[in-house]
Parts: sequence; C-alpha cells; structure tokens
Amino acid sequence: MKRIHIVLISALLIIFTGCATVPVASMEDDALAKRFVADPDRSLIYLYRNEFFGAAFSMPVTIDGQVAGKTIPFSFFKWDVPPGEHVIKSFAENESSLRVVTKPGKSHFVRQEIKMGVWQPRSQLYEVGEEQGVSAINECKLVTSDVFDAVKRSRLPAELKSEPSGSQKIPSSPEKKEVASIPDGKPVSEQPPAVASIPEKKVQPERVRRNIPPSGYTKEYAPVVSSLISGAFESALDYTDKNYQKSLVKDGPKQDKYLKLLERGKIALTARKYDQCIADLQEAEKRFLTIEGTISITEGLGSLVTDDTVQEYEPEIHEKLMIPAYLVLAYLGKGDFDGARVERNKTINKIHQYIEEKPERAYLENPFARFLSAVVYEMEGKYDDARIEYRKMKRDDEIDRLEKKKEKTTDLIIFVDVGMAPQKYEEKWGPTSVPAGMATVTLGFAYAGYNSMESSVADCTIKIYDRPMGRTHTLYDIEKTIFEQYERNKSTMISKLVARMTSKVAAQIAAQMAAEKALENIPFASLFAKTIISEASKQWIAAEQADLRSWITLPRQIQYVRIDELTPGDHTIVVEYNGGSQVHKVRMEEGKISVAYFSVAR
Amino acid sequence: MKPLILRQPFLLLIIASIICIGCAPSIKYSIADDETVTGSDWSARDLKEVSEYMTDSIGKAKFIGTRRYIEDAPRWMLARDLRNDTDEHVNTRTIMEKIRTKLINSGTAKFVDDQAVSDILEQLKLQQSGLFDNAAVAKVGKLVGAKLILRGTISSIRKRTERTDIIYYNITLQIVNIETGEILWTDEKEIQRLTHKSLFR
Repeated sequence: MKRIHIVLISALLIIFTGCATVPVASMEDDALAKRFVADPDRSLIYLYRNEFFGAAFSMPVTIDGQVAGKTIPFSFFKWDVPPGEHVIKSFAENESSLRVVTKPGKSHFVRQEIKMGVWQPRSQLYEVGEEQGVSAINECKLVTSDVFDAVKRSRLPAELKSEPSGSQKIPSSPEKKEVASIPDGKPVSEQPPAVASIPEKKVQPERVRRNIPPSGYTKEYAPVVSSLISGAFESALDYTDKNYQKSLVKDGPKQDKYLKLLERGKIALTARKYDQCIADLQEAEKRFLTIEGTISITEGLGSLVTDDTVQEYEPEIHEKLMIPAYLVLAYLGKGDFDGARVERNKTINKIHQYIEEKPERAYLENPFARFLSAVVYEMEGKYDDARIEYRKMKRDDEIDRLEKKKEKTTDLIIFVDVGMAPQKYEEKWGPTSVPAGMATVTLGFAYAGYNSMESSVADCTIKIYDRPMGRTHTLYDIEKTIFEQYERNKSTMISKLVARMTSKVAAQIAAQMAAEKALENIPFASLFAKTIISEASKQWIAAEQADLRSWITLPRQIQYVRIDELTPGDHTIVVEYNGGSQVHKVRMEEGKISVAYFSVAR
Repeated sequence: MKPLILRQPFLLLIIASIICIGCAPSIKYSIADDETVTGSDWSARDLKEVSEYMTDSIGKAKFIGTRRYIEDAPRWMLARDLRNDTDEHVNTRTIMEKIRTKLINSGTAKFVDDQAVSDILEQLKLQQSGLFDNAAVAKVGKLVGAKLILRGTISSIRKRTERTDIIYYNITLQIVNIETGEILWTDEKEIQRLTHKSLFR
C-alpha cells in the first residue's frame, strides 16, 4: 500500500512540480529538440528523467560546473556542447557525477535515474544508447536550460554560435557546500534561495502557432471558421444554427447549448442580423449569470469520472465582457439607442465587477468594451462620463479631443474584428500502466492548450466612397488576453486534473481490491478479473478528452478608426484588407456620432 | 383470489389520480406579488408598487386641487417613454401606461393619446374624403392639445458578485407644464433588494 501511496502522490505532484518550478520549453522547441541532429562541429547531450518516482522533487543539474536548471518527472535537457569531455552532476539526497566524452556531430544520452532515499530521493546518472535514449526522450518534455541551450543556440546568428552560452558558474569548492544544503527533507521548491542560486525563470505567455488539425468542439466549428474567413457570413450563420440545433436534440450536447448561442449570436452580428444577435447573446448571458458562482454536483461528479466536456460551459471572464459590448453594437446597428444605452450600463457594471473590484485581474482589461461605452456616453452628450472612461484607458488623445470640442460634430467610428481568436487543442499523456504493489494502475490525462490562428491581415484601410480616410489601429488584442488568462488559469486546471486522476486511480485500486476479495477462493479468477479491470481502465483513461470549448468566433483583435467632422447624409464605407474588401452604407445625422462594424476573419 | 388493488377500487382511483396529477403541468392563476420576484431584476411587483405609489402621490399634488386646474381641466400626455438608465431592458412604457390608466379611472386627469395621432389623422382624412355622410363625420380642428406632460427616469445602481446581487432602483416622475416648462409636481420611488444564489444548482 505504501508504494501505491508513492505512486499516487507522485502522480499528483508531477504536474504541480512540473508547471510551478521549471521553465518548460514551448511545443515548437520541444519538437525541434526531438530531431536529434547535431551540427557537424558540435555535440548534443540529452539528459532525461523519465519516471514518476520522486515527483515531488525537482533536481538541480550542472554541466561543466554551470547550473543548467532542474529536472522534473518526464523532462529532459538538450545541451549543445563542443566535442570533448564534459562533467554532468545531479544533486538530490546524494550527488551523482558522470563524465561524458562527446564526438563531433553526435548525440549522447544520459539518464537520470531516481532511487529511494531516506529524506528525499537519490539520483544516479549513467549514459545510455541512442535507441533507449530517443525512445525515453520522446515521452518527455524539454526543459529550458540556462547553459548550452541547444534551442537558443540554434537561433543565434552563425558568428555568435561559437560563443558558449553564459550563465553563472558554481565554483568547484563551494559546490559541495551548496549541495549540502539540499537534503533537509523538503522539496527543492521550498529550499532557501542559497541552493539555489539556480535562477527561476518566469514563463511568459507565449503565442503558439502550429498547424494542428481541429478536433472535438473546434472541429465542429471548422466549417464556420472557413465560411467566416472567406467572408460567407450567411453560410457561417447557417452552420452555427445547425450546431446550435444539434445541442437541442435528445441526447445532444446540452452542456454546450449556451456557448453555441454565443457563437450564433456573434455570427448574426457579423451578418447584420441584429435581432437574432440580441436574442441569442441575451439568452446566453442570462444563463451564464444564473450559473455563475454555482456548482452542479452531478456535473462535478461526472467530470471527475470522465472529463470536463460533460460540464455545462461557463465562459471565461474575457468572454463575459464581450457579450454586452457586442450587444451595444447590435442595438446601435438596429438603430435602438435606448437599448444600446442599457447594454452600455451593463458593460460598465461588468467591467466594475470583474476587473475594477479585483486589481489582480487588470490584465483582463477590455479596451474595446470601455471605449465603446465612452462612445455611447458621448453620443448621449455625457462628456464627463466619457472622459472618465477615456482616462481609465489612459487615452489622453481622446480626452484632448473632448476638451477641444466646441460644438457637436458629425463623427464616424468604425470597429473592425480582425482574425480569429486562438483555438484550443488537445494535449494528452498516457494511458500508462504503473505497477503499484500487487496491482497495476493506469494513469493518464488530457488537457487543452491554446493555438494561435493564422492571420493575414495586420490592419485595414478605410475609405469613404473612394477617398482614403485612414488605417485601423488595434484597440483590443484578444489573443494576448487569452494566452495570458490561460497561463494564469494553469494552476486551477492542474488542480482539476489532479483531482480527476486521483479519483480514477482510487476507483481502479478499489475495483481491483474488491475483485481480489470476492474471488479469492477461485483459482486464477482474481488474476483474470484484474486483467479485465486493467484493460477497462486503459480504455477509460484513453477515453478522457480535453475540454476544447471556447468562444471561437471571437476575433484575434478589435481594431478601430475614428473619422471626425464628416458631412451629414448617406456614406458608403469601404474596408480594404489584404486583397479583400467590404462595403457598408451608413446614414450620418448632423451633429451625431455614428458607429459602423465590420468583421474580417482572415 | 383477486389482487388487493382490484378488491379496493378506491385505492385504484387514488393511484390513478396521483399519476394523473403528477403528470399534469402545474398552473397557478392567482399569484402573490412576492412570487413575481424571482431575482434582483425588475419585476411585476415593482411595476405595481411604483404605479400605485406615483398615482397616489399625483392625486395628492397641490396643483390638482386648485380652482384653476379644475376649471381648465388641462389635457395630459405621456412622454414617449420613461428614460431607462438601468442595465436592464425594462419595458418603461408599461409603467407609464399603468399610471395613466389609474389617473384616468380615478378622474384625476384627462389624457390625449400621444401614440394615436397618426391613426386619428388617417381616419379624419378618410372621413373628409366625401365618401361619408357629412352630418355624421368627425370634424377637423377639434383635436385637443395637451398642456401637461408626464415624464421621468428610471435608473439603477447594481453591485454584483458571483452569487450576490444588490440592486437599487430609483424612479423619478415629473409633471411639466408644456407652455412654461414649469415642473408642477415631482416624486421619486426607491426600490432595493439583495438576492443571494445558492451554491448548488
């Protein structure tokens, strides 16, 4: 049973340890590192740790006296070194040292094996063959190294490649002293900074762009995205409608119903079907408000035994803030200013609730929602309120404009949704069988990452009839917010994964113990039952899916342009972008502000 | 021997009734005011409370009892809408019309219909077209202009957290003399409530 505990705790802590204390490289770099190709005049050393055991502990590693970083379960380093002799050391309860003699153009593989210690695990380094090394590394994640980083080096210009990567050196004599401070029974992450003079890197949100085929929810919306990109808004609306109808049928994905209403509402706005947009977004918003801050026990239990896709979709904060802002645009498009004013009030209340009352969420600031609210205040003649919002956005240019404004002018503000928001993709680990005493449990998990969508439009040229009026500027970078929010949500996601994995492991052990007890008197029956349970567990764990739901019809960015002092009357606006264009007519009333909205999904 | 259920027809009737009642939709025609409040949003109870309060207040207004008002019997009209400065799509026209109904029925005020003008003009035009008996048609130039306008604003302050919603409504009405712009009467009604959601849904 003790071993089961170790396996369980290791399984739980691997994720915490991995994400909390070690800078894991991007997927692109990880894939690049797994090519195993060395420059002809250099050598590659791969050091890997491919086991759960000791998952609570990250272990410092040095190469040639320089701190490279720490390993965690299922991680590896890739060092680009000059050919010759290199000394690698691993510090745990013990110190393990290995001398590796590298050859030009060759890859060398070092395994960091983890062993049972008294207070914490011990480690042992030894060189392994290419076949074993490659196979092990393929199941590990690349950790960014502070020295001889092969990935960083590969990006350097040729003339700089001969320079070794710089890092602080651990002097040879105090090395022992520093290591001596490690084994006090605490995980490395809890050690005082002395050990580690090992630098902790803050992982910045990275905008990943890879060609990942859509799956799950993103696959369901692939035709919508294609139609949007090609500018076929009616067709996109048809697809979103069909997807929504699917969620209503018996045994359909009812948990996605309101997210699908959001998608349809957004596309309805793009297709200028304002009434439908208003109905859809308001219905979805009402439901999201109802479930906000509440828990469904049945769905919660369901997600523990299966995955998060069984839970009703609850939008992220950046999505919640976009709903009333788009409703403002829909009401303005419909010509219902009273409706727009109500939605503006709602927008301001939500910004207050979600952002201003929680300063730690400042990164979720939605300049589009705030700017649009300020514009509606201006339309209403409430210049002081507009000024307050512009001030909160630090838009001195807009404040100056308001200060200088002597009389009402006929102004046009054009908002353009550009590109597509990042989409989620599945990252899966396992199923992997782990011996636990007399039993075997299957471990595995699936989670979602974000992938940036390709975009060919940087900005748009605005023309009134044929007269160029200017280019659009970025007002709100939704993609950046999404990646940043994802980084910050990681700890919650990890907690959920750990809870799910624990419950699944517990269920497997319980089933095996029950089978053993029930069939103890029948020869081989218990063994047979355990095999069946083990196979079923593999299927069960393999069936786990990442929750790929998000409001995917949101844009990558919202851009805008303000054109002041136009002549009243009908105007034809032309939005030009990277070989395409869209046209829309607006009626400008004297002394009033008009708002136009476009969507360029390319 | 017959089973118990067949020996006791009364028991059979009770079971059948339970099944039928259990399956039938539940419809209730008499609803208490408090039952119309299901959350912090504007409700039928608020509509009733505001219209009753405002009608009562207008009835007690000083200018209503003056000799001049009684003699002139000026016509009233509603502003197009009560200005909605809340974060909800409240049907403000209903509030105004409910107050108008109560004022007319209590004999406090006579209103001209602000929304019927185009229909009236259409009808007058038709009746003056020569197709109708001249003696029986409505005469032109008899429309009565309003001298007083009933207008106002509904605004709200909302504080919401994930499971708590505090709402404060303020409804302000005024009666304005169209000729002079003078406010003859004004009053306000405040409504506030706190709603708290259960953790489990």
